[in-house]
Amino acid sequence: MKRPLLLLGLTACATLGGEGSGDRGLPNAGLGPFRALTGDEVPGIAPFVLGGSGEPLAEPAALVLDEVGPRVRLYTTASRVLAPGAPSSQVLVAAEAFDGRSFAEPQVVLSADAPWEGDGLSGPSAVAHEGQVLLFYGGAEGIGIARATDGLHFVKEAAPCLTAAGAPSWEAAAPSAPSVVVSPEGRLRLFYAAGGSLGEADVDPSSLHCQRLDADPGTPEMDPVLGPGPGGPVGDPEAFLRTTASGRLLVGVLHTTQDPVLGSVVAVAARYGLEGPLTRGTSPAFTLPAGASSPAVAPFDQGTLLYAVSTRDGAPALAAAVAPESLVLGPPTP
Amino acid sequence: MKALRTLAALSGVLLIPGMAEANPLDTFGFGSRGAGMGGAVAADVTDASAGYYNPAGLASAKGLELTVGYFRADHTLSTEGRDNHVDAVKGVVGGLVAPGTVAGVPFAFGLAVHLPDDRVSRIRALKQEQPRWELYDNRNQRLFLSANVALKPVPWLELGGGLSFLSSTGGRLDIEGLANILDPERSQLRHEVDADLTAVRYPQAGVRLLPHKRVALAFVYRGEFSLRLDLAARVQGNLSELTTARYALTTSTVNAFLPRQVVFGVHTQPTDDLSVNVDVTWMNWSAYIPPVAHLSVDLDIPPPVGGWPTGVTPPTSPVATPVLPIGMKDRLVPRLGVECRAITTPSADLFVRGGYEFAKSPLPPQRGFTNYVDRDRHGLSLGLGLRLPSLGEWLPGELRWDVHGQLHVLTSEVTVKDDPTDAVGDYEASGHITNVGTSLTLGFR
Repeated sequence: MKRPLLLLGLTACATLGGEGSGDRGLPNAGLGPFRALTGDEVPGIAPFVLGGSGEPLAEPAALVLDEVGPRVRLYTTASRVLAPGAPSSQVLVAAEAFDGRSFAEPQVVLSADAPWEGDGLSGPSAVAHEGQVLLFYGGAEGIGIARATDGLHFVKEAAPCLTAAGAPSWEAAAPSAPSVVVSPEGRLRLFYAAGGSLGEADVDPSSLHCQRLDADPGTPEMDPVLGPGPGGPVGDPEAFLRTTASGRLLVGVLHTTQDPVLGSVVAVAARYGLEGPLTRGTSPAFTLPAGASSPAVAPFDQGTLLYAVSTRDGAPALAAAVAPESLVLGPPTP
Repeated sequence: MKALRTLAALSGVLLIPGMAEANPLDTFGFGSRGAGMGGAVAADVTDASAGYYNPAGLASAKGLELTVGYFRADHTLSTEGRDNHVDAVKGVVGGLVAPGTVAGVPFAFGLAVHLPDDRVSRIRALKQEQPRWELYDNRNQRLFLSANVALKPVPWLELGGGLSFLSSTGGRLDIEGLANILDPERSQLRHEVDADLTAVRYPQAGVRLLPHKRVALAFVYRGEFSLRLDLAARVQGNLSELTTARYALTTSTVNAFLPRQVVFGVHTQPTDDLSVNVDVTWMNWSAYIPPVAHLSVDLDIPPPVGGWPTGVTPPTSPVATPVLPIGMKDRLVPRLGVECRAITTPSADLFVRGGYEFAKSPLPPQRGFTNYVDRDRHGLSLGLGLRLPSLGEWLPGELRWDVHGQLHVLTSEVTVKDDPTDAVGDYEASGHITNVGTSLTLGFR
């Protein structure tokens, strides 16, 4: 015992070392797990960045305008009165932040005015393609598309691109909650929710015609890319593509499901390549005590921001999180 | 209950693996002469650095020698092009050689030490899936201390051996008292901490054969070493007069592991001014113990009579993380060292040195859950030495001043994951390490 103590006494004369590092810049696939932002990272009550009892917001979709910052435009659903004396209706609104966290007041960008849309719009998904922003959204009878060169003033396509017509038996309801990604070849891939499962469709970039895809052509019926999981139905897909360091195309889909202990959670499924079913992840990608659902991701230069719907002051609000968990964002810059 | 919830969270934190450590001298060498020759000096080392390279060489020391030096190794290791900021390894190196005779047989005693600037050692616990440079991150942040003896029973044979030292830690934490689950601030807890620092020793031994004045052969053995950290925590208390809770946690981690090594070295001296050395080291990496904490948790909270109050939910025992095998492979590390006496005068000699080593990574491809990052390493060394054979009347001896520089290149390679939902995903890793240093030796004749 004396020898080590003497040794420690000698070395105690040296400068005391710090904790050390070696854990910066670590690789991350962007599939989580995500860490909820803290009070030092958001302008208001952490981890919320938008919505609440003042204006309930839900079903976010993120469009990254600049990976540095990042500058992000969020499209969400909101309940607004569009004309004096008119009842409130569910519309799509947009808000921007230069740091991904300090959002301005949301402005209406799209409202329901076609018979197939019903009383309101839902589940936006925005993607930049060939110099314009394509906004996919849900209506009563299916999924529609609108275009805008500035991402704010949209012109709708006349008809929905995907409805219940020709749907397989597992699509017990009209397709909804679209999420669109652009493949390296310039094709558009649409993921959607229906009947507690997730489906996939190919979208012709010229005609914007949607064609359902079979996740397993070896079976007689068209299969979903992700069926119900151990916790029950899955929904609210948020897809993103990434080319890995080995040159493989990773298709990741965050989605909402139920955990028996944690309640509503954001889970992950993924595959390599543009074809085939998704592999289900073993652990949730993001959870909150009040539940988390309807994920949207915004990849940027240092990592990935996640927006999810939770509850604040008893109303739906958008919470923000980041991956990798070790990444600490600086103070918000309103 | 708040205290118990905190401890439940703490045990969750400790469900994460410890970080492996080993010997920085395996990577960076000891003393500037050996480092400048790529570490290929097992068969011709005779100064204090023989305490690491080959204790048998101490027997050829010509007189009392004192060595002091310093080195610094900076890591530029990155994944996906982003620097991971692995800490530098730096510190003082020193040694002593004291030769003599015993019953007419040449005999020597040697001490060798490396004192890091920042810390005696560092314990770091990380999740198995968190990427880390397993052989460079925390592994080289430790002290080295060894004591050796050597003798030369016949002119062509030298024998040496000794022990290296570090310490392991064990501890116990006891907490007893009253926990108020409804008003935690009114809890009254007493705690007792008991920690024990135990010396750990591991052996090393060497042989040097001198069949010819221009040839030497060496065999060196370095023993296996592991440093354990054992902690036990026990909490027992009365929860607001509702029930008595008991919580016991034990964790055991091997956070330093040095594999057994065997070195075979050859020294040749084609001319009076040129030495060419080759060393091959076998490293028993397959015995590597995964740096994962083995955790045992026992939580016993009997429900009170009549059940728990509304809004109170007792915590459950956390599930222990399964320890995945690390699957390292044994490796042979070849080293080449060259030393040339470039200039020789009555008052000074100048030596130029160079070396090369290749260390193939012992880690298997990380296709699954774990992320122990490593790459094949090429090491290039250069060195200079100045020897002043006579310092005049005030110091009957010689002075040697050596400097070295090393560049280690870790070749780029992509880790490919089988599971598309893996949180880390495929990644490229590569890097380089630079090591510079100097040492000064005073020899008394």
